[in-house]
Amino acid sequence: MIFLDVAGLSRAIEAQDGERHRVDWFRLAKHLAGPRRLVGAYVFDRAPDADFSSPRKRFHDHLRYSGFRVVTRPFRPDDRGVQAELTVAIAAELIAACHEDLLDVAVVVSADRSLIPALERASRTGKIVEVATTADQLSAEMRKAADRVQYVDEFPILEILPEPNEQDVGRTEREVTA
Amino acid sequence: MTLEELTTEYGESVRAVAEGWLEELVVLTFRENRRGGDPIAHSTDGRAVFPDKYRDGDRILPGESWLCSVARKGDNTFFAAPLARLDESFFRGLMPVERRRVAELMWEQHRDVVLDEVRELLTEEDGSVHAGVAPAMVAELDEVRRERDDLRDRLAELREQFDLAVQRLGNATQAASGGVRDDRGPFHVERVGAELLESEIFEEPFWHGHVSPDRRVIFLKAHPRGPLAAHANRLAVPGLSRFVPREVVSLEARFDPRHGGFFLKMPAA
Repeated sequence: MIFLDVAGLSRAIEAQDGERHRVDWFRLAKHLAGPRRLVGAYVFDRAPDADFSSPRKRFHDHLRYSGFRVVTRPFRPDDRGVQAELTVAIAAELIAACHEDLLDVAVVVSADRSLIPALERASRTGKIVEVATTADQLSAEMRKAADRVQYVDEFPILEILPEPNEQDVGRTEREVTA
Repeated sequence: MTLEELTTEYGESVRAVAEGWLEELVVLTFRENRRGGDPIAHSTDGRAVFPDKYRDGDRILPGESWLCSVARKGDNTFFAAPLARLDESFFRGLMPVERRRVAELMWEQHRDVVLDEVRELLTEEDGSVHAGVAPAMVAELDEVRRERDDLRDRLAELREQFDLAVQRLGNATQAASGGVRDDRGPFHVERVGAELLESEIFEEPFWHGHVSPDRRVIFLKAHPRGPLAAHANRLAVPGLSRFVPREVVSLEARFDPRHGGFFLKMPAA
């Protein structure tokens, strides 16, 4: 089972200047699972705006249609600008899934150190806990807490997009692709 | 108790009385008299017996069997007074033990006759059963045969549809994965422009392209709705020049059946 911190990974591999690509979450899940059977993939992201046609909402719907289970939390950053509520949501789902014996291997796609206690607790339930993130974001403590590490830098997960049309100029990448 | 036992117990006089009594009570089957007149019966010893009209003899009809009391008139003329007609109702009126005894006696003493009768009855019954059931069975058999033929036709039709669906699926898979490949490469990919690749693998018109965050792996997969266009074995990759150094002019592609596409790895720096 995969637990994806969308916002965290998006920040880590955000597009470089002049490049047009988007993260293909489905392909990322496929690479992370490898030949193993994927029993589920949770996506954690901030809640969309109230606007019915907000790009984030359409993005979440796209993920849901692709088979992901999307968990959202309202955006209430703390004084450091960190949205702790999402991290706690990941930890809660991870621990619950381990205790309910819903998985054999938990792949947590995040570099958030706040998850270390949850990773250690999940590992003590007898499950294999993997952490997947970029090499430059992974801390030594996270590496120690996990049973295995996967580096997403090596996976071709950024979809190459065609040149933008004139009407797309000025819109964000997520707005265009969603 | 048999007559022998009675004789043993009560003496020979009993035998004479009993034989006299037995002689009078006989079962006779009457038939049409060929000379006309009343029906006639013959006792077991061949004597002709006529109905005794003074003792209800008129009740006897040709073809009937009766328990009769037979009386002699003169030396060779016998007349029978009917006591009970031996027909179906007579046997039905017997107690079960008596019926069983009659059946046992018939079976022990006249087995051949009984068997012949039974065979004849069975043959008649078979014939009637066959006559009644056979047409229905034939009709049912025809119906089953028609149903079987229909099912055969349906099966053939479904097989045809299945083969067609498999063929379509194969075509779709082939189109989606860039063709079913026996070999996995490596295939040579030439960079013929800043954002243009050329190779024999670019047979399909549309492709999806992915690149790894470290910009060292490219994944290309043919797909009917892919955003990247290929023509004449050349694939345009927008932004290629930004993540593939210009000095790289040649790449190797390997087909991965699990992902259904080609992996291109940048040469080590």
